[in-house]
Amino acid sequence: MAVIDANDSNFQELLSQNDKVVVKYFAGWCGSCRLFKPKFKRLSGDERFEGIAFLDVNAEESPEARALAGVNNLPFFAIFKDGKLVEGGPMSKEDAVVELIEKLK
Amino acid sequence: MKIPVIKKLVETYSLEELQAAEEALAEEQQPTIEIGGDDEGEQLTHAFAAIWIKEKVDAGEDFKVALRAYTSMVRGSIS
Repeated sequence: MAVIDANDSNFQELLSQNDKVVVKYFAGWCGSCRLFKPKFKRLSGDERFEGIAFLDVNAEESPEARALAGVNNLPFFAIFKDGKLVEGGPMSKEDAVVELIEKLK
Repeated sequence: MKIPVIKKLVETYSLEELQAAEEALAEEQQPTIEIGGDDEGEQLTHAFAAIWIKEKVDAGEDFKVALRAYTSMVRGSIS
């Protein structure tokens, strides 16, 4: 599945349309976010995570989506199930992100 | 993000050198200038910051004013 660009306008709608969601919050000033971009794209196509929606949210432009996950540093990853936040945290290591996404299975 | 590292970059290197370093880091290559940071991600963050501030300074803005605006922008996206 491709990574979907999300923002305050469509975030809630995407959460309601998808049972399992992982969100990457990023910003233009964040180097680790930039370096994680191709990894997140690759993970979105990983068959282990079939049925999970991968969202990209620009934290600078989406304060409401940011607040829903309690973003306090970037890059920040959060998982949502049935529209509710399960867990989230700032992380830049792929292993930690995979471990987080596994919790949606 | 470490302010002293950003300050040193702005004071030491030209915009072109910083942009070349940013490009190298974004391609996961070693930059030709020394950029402090705990890992490649933080180094790239420092390069982004130095370029942003350097552009303001080169346009005549005071370094401290540009730095304050930058840190304010960063805080605004994580609070």
